[in-house]
Amino acid sequence: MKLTNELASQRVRAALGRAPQDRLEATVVLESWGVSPDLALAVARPDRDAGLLSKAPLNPTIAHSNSLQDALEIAGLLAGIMAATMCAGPIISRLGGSAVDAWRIALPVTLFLQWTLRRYHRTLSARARRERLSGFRSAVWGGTALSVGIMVPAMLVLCPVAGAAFALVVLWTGCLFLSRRGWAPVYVALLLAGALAVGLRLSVVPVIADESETMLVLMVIAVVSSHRSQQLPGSWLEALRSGCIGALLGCLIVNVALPGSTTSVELLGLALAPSLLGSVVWFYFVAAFWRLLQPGIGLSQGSDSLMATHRRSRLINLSGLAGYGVTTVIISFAALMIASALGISSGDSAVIFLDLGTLGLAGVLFAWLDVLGRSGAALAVECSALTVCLLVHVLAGSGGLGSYGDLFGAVVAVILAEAVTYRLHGEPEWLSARML
Amino acid sequence: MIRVARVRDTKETAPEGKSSLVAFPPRARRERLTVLLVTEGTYPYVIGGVSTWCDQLLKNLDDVDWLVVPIVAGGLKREPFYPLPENARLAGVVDLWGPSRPRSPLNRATRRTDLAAELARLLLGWDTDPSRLVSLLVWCHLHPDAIVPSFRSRQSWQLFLERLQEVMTESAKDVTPGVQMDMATAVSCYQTLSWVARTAATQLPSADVLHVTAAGWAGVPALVSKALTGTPILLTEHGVFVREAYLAAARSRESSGSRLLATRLARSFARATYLGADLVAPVTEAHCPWETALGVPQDRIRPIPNGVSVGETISPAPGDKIVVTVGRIDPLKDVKTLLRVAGKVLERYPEVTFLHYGPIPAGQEAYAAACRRLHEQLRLGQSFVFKGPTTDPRGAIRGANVALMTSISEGFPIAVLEALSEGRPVVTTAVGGVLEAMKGAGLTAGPRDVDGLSDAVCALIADPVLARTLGVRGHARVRRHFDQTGFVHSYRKALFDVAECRTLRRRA
Repeated sequence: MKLTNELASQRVRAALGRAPQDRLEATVVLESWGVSPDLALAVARPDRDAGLLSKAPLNPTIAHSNSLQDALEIAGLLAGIMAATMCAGPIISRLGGSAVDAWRIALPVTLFLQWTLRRYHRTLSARARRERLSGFRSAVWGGTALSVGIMVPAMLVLCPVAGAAFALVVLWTGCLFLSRRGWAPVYVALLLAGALAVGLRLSVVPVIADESETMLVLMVIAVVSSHRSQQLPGSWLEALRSGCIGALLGCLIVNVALPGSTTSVELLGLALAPSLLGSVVWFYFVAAFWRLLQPGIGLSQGSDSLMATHRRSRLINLSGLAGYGVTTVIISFAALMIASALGISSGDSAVIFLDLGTLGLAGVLFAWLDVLGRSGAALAVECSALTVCLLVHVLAGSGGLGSYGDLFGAVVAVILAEAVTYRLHGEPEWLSARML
Repeated sequence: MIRVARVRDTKETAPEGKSSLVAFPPRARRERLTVLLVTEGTYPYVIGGVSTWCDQLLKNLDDVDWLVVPIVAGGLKREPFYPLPENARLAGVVDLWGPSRPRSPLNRATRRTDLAAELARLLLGWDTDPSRLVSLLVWCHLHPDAIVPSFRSRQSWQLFLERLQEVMTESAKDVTPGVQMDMATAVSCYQTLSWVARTAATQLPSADVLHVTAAGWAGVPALVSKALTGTPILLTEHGVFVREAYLAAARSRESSGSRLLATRLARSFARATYLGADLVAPVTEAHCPWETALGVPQDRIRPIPNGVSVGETISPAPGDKIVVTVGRIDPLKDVKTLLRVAGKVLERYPEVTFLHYGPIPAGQEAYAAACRRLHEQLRLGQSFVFKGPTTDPRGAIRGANVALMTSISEGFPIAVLEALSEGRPVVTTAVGGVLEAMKGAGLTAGPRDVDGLSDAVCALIADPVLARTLGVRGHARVRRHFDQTGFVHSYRKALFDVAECRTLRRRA
């Protein structure tokens, strides 16, 4: 039977269950029916009257990082900061001013390292992140050697501030390594053991030294026992930019929440809890952002489906903000009542809660900007906030209004970061497309 | 033989024939040809027919210096599966969708906000001029720093969307109207186009000939290099790239927009590569109609069939009834039909064992899982065993009574040639250059023809004399027509002929 255009068209429709997209698709279908390529190319025609209806579900693949991973990791880091701060309390109260200086140095350095590492591994799966730890063998071995050779002598003899800062950096950075390896309970146990030892009036310096040495050993075990990953991580340059965001956030935190002799360490630990839980709630809401671009959203800028998506995207942003605010305020009130009942609250307790709550929100917004590829904006906002802190201190002095300078800085950071993220949420499709 | 003289540093005076993977040895003879081989998802990282072909070519053309640039995807740390011979070295890897980023922009003025829109028009439109696409790719190559900033600009995205809508509503004689693309697919499309631009920005080392192994992504850096340096291109087509893309799209359950993205991209790559190629060497004449239909003049097509080494004698077939298939687990290999054929054969001959050797390529995990489910549904049990990848496909074939292949698309399959060279009868689908390879030495049926294929397998199982006769014929046919020596000679001639194009162009 001669294969006419009409017959060919019927065969193609029968095989595909729809009209062919174009002449070439019709040709490959005819070929698979045993028609020679020459003949298939000659008789294949598109079905110009049919229209291309597809009943098949779509499966869009949009490149984005795993927001749940990010959320869990950031929550883990915040938990680490909280645990480490609570643990650092007894140490600071025993060592006095030099330990405060060490804390002031160690926190920005630690956040720099943690954010750098987090960004470097951002595109990897959870398993690959764990496996990529093996790439830090030399760094961890080097850190151990440095610790044994320099830190202990420095702490004991030469420079207690540098030694203590080094120990704190090791303790806090170890949080990321051990939590990725799935050993978070070991980390918490180590910190609690340290706090207990200090509480039992053991000599502080050897306790810190032992704790950081133990942490280094655990990090060595964590990286050595990790399998090597085949997935390639991101670029160091971008990672270092994220590290700078972390370092500047650390600077804001040490400005606002520096534990001093007047603030009880237990209160500081309690004050960190609301922002920590608020951050988890914030990420819970914002994780919905990655599910926004569902199939079927029209291309046209004015289409109803696209406008609805834009509205949903902004709503997600505001929901995250509201979720954080409500959670943090409620838990702050509860924590203040607990502090009052325990007799650890002081006159400036409310301000401390407000400071840390505001900074926690700034932290998650910076992290979100970084995830969205807007690390430059995050850095600019942080610099603005630090400038405000400095200006208020300079202009108003240390008393009166000047004592709220750090809070002003944190508020400025939140307002600016939220303004940027809200604007970005206005065009989720553009934001996804530019994540190249 | 045509001699292509390349003036080299006279300080290069190391002994001839010694080389390393880091740098080529100095050469006493100046007529040695340097060929840049651009592979796509195959050599030297992935096991398969095309990789085996590359391996043979590089090893046997030892009077050529080979530079290999593989194009891979997925951002994985890879170790070459095929060790490069002494006359070859890796000259870079293009990792699509990998974590690497182009350098940051130094000069924002070079940013081009219509880059994505123009790429969309030239790559996704039906009636487009491939030469304009090449010009745009050359711009990308000359401004690598501007690519990502251009794509990140909001104006670029808006222009892209406008142009995409024009493409969707394009009215052409050979196109069915009414393609619908949603925003999620548009986002994927935008990111894919950025990778096209980044691939064009790849810096290739200088060579006498660019040898491209697929008219797809591999053609992009080669076309740019040719436009800038005049280096001629030899294109080898194992499968017809555009045809395979259309086949995959026709089988897929994706939306019309996703299908359009995949197929139009393949069509534009193929048309541009065909336009730029000085010689197109399909592995089978069966590809020629596609190539001519997409614009390659007849006089630029020279089919060069694959070849394999073949011994003088045939090893005896094993006593058990074993059917072996060698090929990756991929929809193009139609493993589901293979399983159904096995099921049919086992109904009649339960004592037959089917062995499948082949890897699961990245991205085909879901298909492999579906095949395993079908294996369970058909209750094939130990009568059909997935043996995984093998480093000795010929050894696997040697242990078979019958070789079976159920592909829906093939070029000139090395697996079939290897089976014939081992004196094993082949049952296969009549696709691509299969008939040309095994004329009179095996049995064929149409693609997806489960009954036809299973009948053929049963015939050979039931009649060992017929199987033996076909095996002997196949062995003789490979010795006569598809011996490795002839294949290597054909490629040597093709490469030097193509190199002469450049010499002639320069003289002109």
